[in-house]
Amino acid sequence: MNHLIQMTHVAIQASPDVNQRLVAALIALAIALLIALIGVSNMKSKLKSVRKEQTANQYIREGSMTLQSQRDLFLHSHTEKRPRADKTKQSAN
Amino acid sequence: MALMEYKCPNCGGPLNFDPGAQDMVCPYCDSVVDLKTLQAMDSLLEEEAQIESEDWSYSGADWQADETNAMAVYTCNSCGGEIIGEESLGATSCPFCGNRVVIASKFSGSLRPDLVLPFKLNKDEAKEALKRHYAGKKLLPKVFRDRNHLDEIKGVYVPFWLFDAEADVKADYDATQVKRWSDSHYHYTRTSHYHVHRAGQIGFDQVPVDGSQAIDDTLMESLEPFDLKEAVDFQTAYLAGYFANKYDQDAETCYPRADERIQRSASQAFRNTVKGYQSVTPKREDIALTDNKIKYALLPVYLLSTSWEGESYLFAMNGQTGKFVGDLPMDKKAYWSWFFKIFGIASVLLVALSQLLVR
Repeated sequence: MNHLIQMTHVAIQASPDVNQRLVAALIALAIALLIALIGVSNMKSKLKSVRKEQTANQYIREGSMTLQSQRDLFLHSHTEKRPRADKTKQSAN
Repeated sequence: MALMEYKCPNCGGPLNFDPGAQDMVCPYCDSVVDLKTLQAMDSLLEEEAQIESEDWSYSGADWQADETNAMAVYTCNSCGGEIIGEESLGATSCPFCGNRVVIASKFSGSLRPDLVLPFKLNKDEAKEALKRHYAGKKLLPKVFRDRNHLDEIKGVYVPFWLFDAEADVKADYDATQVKRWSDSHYHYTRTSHYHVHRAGQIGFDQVPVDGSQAIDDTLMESLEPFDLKEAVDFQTAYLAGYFANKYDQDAETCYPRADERIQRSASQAFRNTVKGYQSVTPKREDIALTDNKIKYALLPVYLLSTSWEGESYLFAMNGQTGKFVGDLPMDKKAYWSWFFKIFGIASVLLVALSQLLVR
């Protein structure tokens, strides 16, 4: 087992390309896991159809909404700035 | 007598309300009887309102007082059989002769519904809808679909309270606008804060709340919407052939549910008028309901009960629109089988793609 770990470690260090491929494969597996979870969750949700209605939107009388007062008041603003990363690298060099 | 029966003037058979014809039809001789003709019979309801409850009879001294208070016994006019039911029972069939009866006293005087929404679909359509409900459900146990036994299917007029209201809304929000830009040295982010105020009114018509304790409110809400433009003035004739209960939860008890839904809708409607901001946070919302009106209506629902492996499952269909609801069991083996199938296929495709992209 230790020998296997050592060999993997050497292989990864020797070849950055292998490292990249491994990371890409792991990300692909994680996305596949997410897709599978979403898929079965969607299938499971189709079994449930009894749900409480949260709102009464379907019963709003058409054209009944009237806005008698609307005010949008500006209060204050603040500005943040951060140095550009490329400029920071150039300064360091 | 409190029981009303509608008999065919041609052959004497029991008349039922037919959803297809939207009229009273005799199942024996196919005679169609105009509903308006039967309206005269409803004058009995006004007379019944004057009668004391001495037409009640209780079956035997063995019942406890609290049990008899919740039950009622009627005598079928056709066969003399005893019909026992809950106190709120309004329309049923005689268990002995199948005669359709309407218990007029349950819908008389102050108990008279304002509206009834007649059934538009029949029992066969409800059974077909149940089959369609099972279709396409990959996680439904196959044995449930094959061996599921339809125990009972009932067309029921469910008592509903319909609430009208005007919502007066006053709301304040904190809102922000964010602007980003850069120059040769820096990235800038400016956040502007606003106080937003909205006030106004919005109206709601006929928000329904189920007025029967025995029937699950969530199940009834799942069947919405009912198109109440098709509702008609109440006549007992519409109930013939169906079950019906009068309400046993009054409007005051049901109002909080309507209030909750109306408040949430009003809040959403006014929140949606605040546009052009990256974030909007409600700070204060006052919503008062005024001009409240209440109507009492009977709405059509098919209830289907099934059983499988000792468990009961209840399904419901909107008797007007055909919307079908009911929770189904899940096959855990199928769940994991599909999970690994999807994971396997997605893994192979995505890993292959990732290796091509890295190259």
